[in-house]
Amino acid sequence: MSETLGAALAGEYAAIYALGRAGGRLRTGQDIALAQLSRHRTDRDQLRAWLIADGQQPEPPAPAYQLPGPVNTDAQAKALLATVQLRLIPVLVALLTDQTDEARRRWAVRAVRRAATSAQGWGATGQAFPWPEGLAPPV
Amino acid sequence: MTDRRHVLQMGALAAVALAAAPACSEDADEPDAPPPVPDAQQSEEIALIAAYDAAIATAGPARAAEYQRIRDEHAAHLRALGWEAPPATTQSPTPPASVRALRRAEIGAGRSHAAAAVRETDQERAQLLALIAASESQHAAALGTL
Repeated sequence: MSETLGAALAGEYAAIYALGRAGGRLRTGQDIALAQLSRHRTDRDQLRAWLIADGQQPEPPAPAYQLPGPVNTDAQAKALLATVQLRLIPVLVALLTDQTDEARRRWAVRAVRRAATSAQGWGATGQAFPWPEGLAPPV
Repeated sequence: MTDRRHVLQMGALAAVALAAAPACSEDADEPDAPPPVPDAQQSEEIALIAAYDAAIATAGPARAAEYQRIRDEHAAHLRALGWEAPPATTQSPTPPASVRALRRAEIGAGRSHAAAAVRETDQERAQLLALIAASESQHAAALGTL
């Protein structure tokens, strides 16, 4: 049970890092990025609280993250944010299918929907089954 | 005598007819089988497809292309939900919906599929419903920019 919580927490750390890295390169949408940063920090804290409630010690963020490409322009920043949001979806879906508590399941579904719309907002193409590019959705 | 022969012939015909009746009824079973009834999730997708079909018919080229893309994604949802029949054949004609009405319908369907994902005990189906709800959130956001 804690593996999927831990993976979701790692995803939230990565999203927070990406928003920090990309934020300074955005020419538009900085307000959206700030709102998303605040949301991901709240989500991180929620996941840490659930891990602690389950008797687990939450892992800290990784000391560094390998970015999929350079982040020097507005377009590159938006592409990074779209990628990170899409990559959150599989870990959030795994969390949904792993958890039995209704509040946690509702949280996971809401987070999947938010990641899909955020990805699209940063330029990802709409999909019938939102999922990271290059990976086959489990449908 | 003629009357008696006639009665006997009629009786024989009736016996043949009665004997044949079960066979005829069996043959008729397949074509007369009741059409499958969509469940709540399938029904929402079928209604959305009908709404987009009606909207595409009266929309300009750019908007029609976006409606078609979204309509095709709903058709993919419907297939993934296990509904193979053509979606709109039994629907009564749907009046064209405004972009705001389509957006409201997407928001409603997204909420409904999300709630179903939370309740669903089959985890493969829960996963599918969550992704459908996510797609419908994308649709609502995309329609908000038209």
